[in-house]
Amino acid sequence: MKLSLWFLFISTIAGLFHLDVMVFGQFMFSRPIVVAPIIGILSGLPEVGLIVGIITELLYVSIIPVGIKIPPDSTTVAVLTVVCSERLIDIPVALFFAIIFGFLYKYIDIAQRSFNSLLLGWVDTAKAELVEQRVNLLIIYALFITYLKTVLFYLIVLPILSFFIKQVFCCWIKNLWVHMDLYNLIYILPAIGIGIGLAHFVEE
Amino acid sequence: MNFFLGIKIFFRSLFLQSVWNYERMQNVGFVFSLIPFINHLYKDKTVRAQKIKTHFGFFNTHPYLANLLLGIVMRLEEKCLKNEVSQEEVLRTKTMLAGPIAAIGDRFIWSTWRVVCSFIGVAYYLCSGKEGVWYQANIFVGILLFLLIYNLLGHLPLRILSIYWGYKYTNNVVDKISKFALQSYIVKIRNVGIIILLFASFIYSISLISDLKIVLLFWLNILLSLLLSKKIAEVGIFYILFLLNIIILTVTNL
Repeated sequence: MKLSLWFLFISTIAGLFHLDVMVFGQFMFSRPIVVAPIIGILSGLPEVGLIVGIITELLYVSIIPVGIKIPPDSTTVAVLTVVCSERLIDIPVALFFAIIFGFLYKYIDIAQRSFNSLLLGWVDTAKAELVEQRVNLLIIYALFITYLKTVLFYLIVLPILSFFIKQVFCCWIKNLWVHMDLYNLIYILPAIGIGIGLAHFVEE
Repeated sequence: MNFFLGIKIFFRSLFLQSVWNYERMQNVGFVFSLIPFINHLYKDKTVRAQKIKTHFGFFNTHPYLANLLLGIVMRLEEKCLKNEVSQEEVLRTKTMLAGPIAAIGDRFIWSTWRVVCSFIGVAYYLCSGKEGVWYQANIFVGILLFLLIYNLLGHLPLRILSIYWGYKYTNNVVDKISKFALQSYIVKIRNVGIIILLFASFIYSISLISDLKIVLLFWLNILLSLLLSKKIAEVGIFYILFLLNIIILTVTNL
């Protein structure tokens, strides 16, 4: 019960961050460097949030939304990784699986955008006195549906991923992980993003 | 165009991508932003509805620089009201300029400004070293550094001024932008970004020096991801290097 409420709380907060991606503003509140540390603080694990923020921000830094290209969602990856990491050593495994859900969110986003196309006729066919009102309603719809979609997504994914990581990782491979010093990965992983970030500037 | 109308349009433009769709992309957000101006210009509800439907067609550009086009369209709609330009010309100008403006925005904002601001935020954290060995990084400072630099020096002034520039320069706006020598600024900003990130990486790697193997792996990962970036997508690079690191760490610990 306590855990369910916790997931509900995180989902409602994460939903707000997701509004920044497309629906309102693009102030970059949804970037991993902002989201991960804040979720980390809320979870009582600021250090986890900070390291996830650094790694994820750098990993996704050169992925940009151009035209109809929709990139995998970095906000999802940041939120899921922080919430599913109870300690620093969990971060690499949580990140490994969270990235997959970043792709899943992308496809849900594509589905929503396709559905949006179907709503345009509602304005096209509106009588003169209703046109402005319907445009305004479409904006409210977008705010509502995006928030709802995101909250539901997290409410479904968080328990699954959290359970999977805690059960599979903690029971099966954790001892081996610690024995082989694999927790050191958290200090190395930012380098992957650094290389990607440098390549983004150097290539051009 | 008065000040309060401009502010109203600016706030509405923050919803530009709300109902992004594959058929007409940002059309709903564009029309939503333009509604106060249409209402200001026309009193008749039928004409207003007609104008909204006219601008409800395909529209896609960079979300921040869309305000340039809002300004341009507002000026042209005023001229259209005085029969100085035709409605077709207004739509043609809007469609014609959307592409070049999107290209400028993608390159300057998404691909350069946002990335450099990210580097600054990340560099603040990285420079504190492993487990804060050099200094205790304050979590909020890094976040604020990123958000304030990005929004106060780039995003918000650009969005607000774009409406004014578009309204003032209309069709000549692309010529005006080209006179800024934007490309040279982009190169300079990117060079600053590279220096910041390399410096932060160096400081961070020194903090790992207690385990030389980790320092070597850190720089090996930078080198490999730099090389792989030309051929493989970012996430692919992550998975390849993640597994490679596990193998190296395991083998060296056996």
